[in-house]
Amino acid sequence: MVKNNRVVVGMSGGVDSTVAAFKLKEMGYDVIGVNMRLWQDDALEEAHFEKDGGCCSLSSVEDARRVCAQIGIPFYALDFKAIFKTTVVDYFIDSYQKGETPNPCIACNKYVKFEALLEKAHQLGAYYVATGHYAKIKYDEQFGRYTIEKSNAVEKDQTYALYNLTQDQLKHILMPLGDFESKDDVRKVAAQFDIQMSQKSDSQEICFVPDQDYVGFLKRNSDLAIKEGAFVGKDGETLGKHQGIVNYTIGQRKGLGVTFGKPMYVIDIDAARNVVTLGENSDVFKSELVADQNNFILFDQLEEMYRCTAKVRYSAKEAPCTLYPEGDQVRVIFDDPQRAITPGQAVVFYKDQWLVGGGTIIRGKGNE
Amino acid sequence: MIKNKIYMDYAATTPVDPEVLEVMVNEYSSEFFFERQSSKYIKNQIDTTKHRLMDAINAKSGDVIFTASGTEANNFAIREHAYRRRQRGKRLLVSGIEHPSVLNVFSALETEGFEVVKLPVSPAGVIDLETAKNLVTNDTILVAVMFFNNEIGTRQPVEKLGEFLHERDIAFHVDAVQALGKAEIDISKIKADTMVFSAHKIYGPKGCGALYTKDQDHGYVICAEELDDASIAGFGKAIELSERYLHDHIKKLETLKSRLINGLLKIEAGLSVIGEQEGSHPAIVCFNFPTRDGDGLVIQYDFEGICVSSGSACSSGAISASHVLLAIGMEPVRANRCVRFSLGLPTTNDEIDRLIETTERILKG
Repeated sequence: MVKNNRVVVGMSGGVDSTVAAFKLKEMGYDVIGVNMRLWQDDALEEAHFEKDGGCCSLSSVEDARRVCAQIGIPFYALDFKAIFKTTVVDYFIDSYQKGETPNPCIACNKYVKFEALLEKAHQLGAYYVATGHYAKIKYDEQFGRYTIEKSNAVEKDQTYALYNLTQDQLKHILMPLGDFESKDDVRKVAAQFDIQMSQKSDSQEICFVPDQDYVGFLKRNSDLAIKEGAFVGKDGETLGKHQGIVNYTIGQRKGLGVTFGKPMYVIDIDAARNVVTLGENSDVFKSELVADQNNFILFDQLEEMYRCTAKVRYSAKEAPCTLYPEGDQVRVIFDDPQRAITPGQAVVFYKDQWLVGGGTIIRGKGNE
Repeated sequence: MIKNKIYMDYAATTPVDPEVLEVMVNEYSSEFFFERQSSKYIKNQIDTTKHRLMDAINAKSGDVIFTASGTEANNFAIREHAYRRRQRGKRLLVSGIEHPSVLNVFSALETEGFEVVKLPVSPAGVIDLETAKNLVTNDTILVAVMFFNNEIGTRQPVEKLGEFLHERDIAFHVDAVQALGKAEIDISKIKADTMVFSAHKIYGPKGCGALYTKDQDHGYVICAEELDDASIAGFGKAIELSERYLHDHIKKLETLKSRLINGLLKIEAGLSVIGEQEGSHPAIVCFNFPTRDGDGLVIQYDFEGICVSSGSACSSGAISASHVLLAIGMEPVRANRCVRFSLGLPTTNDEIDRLIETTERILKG
């Protein structure tokens, strides 16, 4: 399609997307605001309403409509319920079924925001989709590729959830907030707009489970059998009874429902045997992991060992490591053991300011 | 230069006719304030509109209750039928292509213990009469089928179904919101127990619906003082105008609709008309666009200053696959690729031609 100036901005009615749309308008783009209507659990209607911060509530549509009017851009609400259900919610359920801990934001970025919304944008004659993510997308001559760089606002950087984007997608994506030095700077720009203060929730909770009771969510929305099973120790000895594996994630200490006389942590979840293995804090640290479904931004494929840093979850610190290609998989060996390497979560690689790529953790290993 | 906007969503709502507005302004003006306070005056206004409506549908007896909307009238009627007859049975039949203001009442009744069965609708958009008859059992107490479908314009066999139900003493509710002023409505043939109408679909004011009930001794209680007699007077004027020129209006709309259908089919982009056309609504036509999503098209038309509609917009304004198109057996992907055009008395040939040109430009880039 012909490159043009028209851009569709995903608008939640919150601070970040409002400022993104405003900046693009200032830069001379032909901006169209769109609120994505996403699937939500009917039972959580009230929680969605109270939260307001999630991107799914009805009042967020009105907030988005109002700020678009203030910015002076057209606004439309679009239905993405079906695609969100199949690519994000169903994946979330499947992941728990496998004893993993999913990261639905990554799936949403990959399939909904930068695939379905981008396709819709093209139908509206727009070359670009833009969001209020804190990340910098550029075409970088030295790599001959579109790259993602970490946000200048270090504490807000959201590149972790963007490692899955392809060159074809990146070509059509704008993220104008990447150049802001801090969230405060963004708030200053946002101050001129009529944004509800209740929309300030910046947390990384799952937007379609606003009450955070994801076990209740799984009970209502899947046929997942949540069965009691055994807590075992490292040597297989039975330590007690667990309430169903979906209640646990690697590294968890609180809420095990059993006391052991010393702090015990979840170190492994075996869905096939319905067993949760507990160990001491030191057992939660592992020095190696294997990831699949990898995607690289800086190059097409990992062909040889590669030194970089990696994060094993959104909130983790980058840690030095070496990547080794193993067929479709990547083995990551950290210089120092990492806490709570969790199957289902993303491992994301960085080199200096660049997002190198990432993959889905299938298992952690080492330190035995 | 910004071209004049084109409105092609008259099935959603219509502009108020200047003659209707004049009636309403007079009613609202302070000059008449004291006169209007007498309940006799209000009753007179209500009776005038009531008789105009009854004449329009050839009703010799019965009553008309004015409501705040067609939605409210549907709610009143359906609930009253169900509750009154619950000793006789609990089975309710409803077509899957009804307006949400009907379907949602049935869903609510289902949670209250009624058995709700959907009448199957053919791919042509018409309920299957024989299947419908077979679904009527001894404990069936109510059947609801609309006159014209609001999204694809198809005419439902309400006369034949009404006759059948009348013989069996089963309540028949007909949502005729899209039919007033667009077709001859003869209650003596339809034999409906209740029928619903709405003023803002016929160039009358918003906030004014009507429920016709065959039964004089109905259970509906509305306090006359709470009614907006100016709206009801406006509704009365709108009925008067739409009935006086009914055949001219139908002819005009049908001519415009043929121009639109022929013009869009000529683009040769694989467009097709959804729903049977024989006896269909004179001004509603739904097109399938094989390669474009309806919501994207509606937005592109909006960029071009043309107001059309697609599928069912939810409270957020987002457009989803229409329940009507799914109910007639359309695959969800195809159902997402449809746009409804609905024409009105102010529509001109020029507007139709501009719509066709614009469509061609959008599709062929």
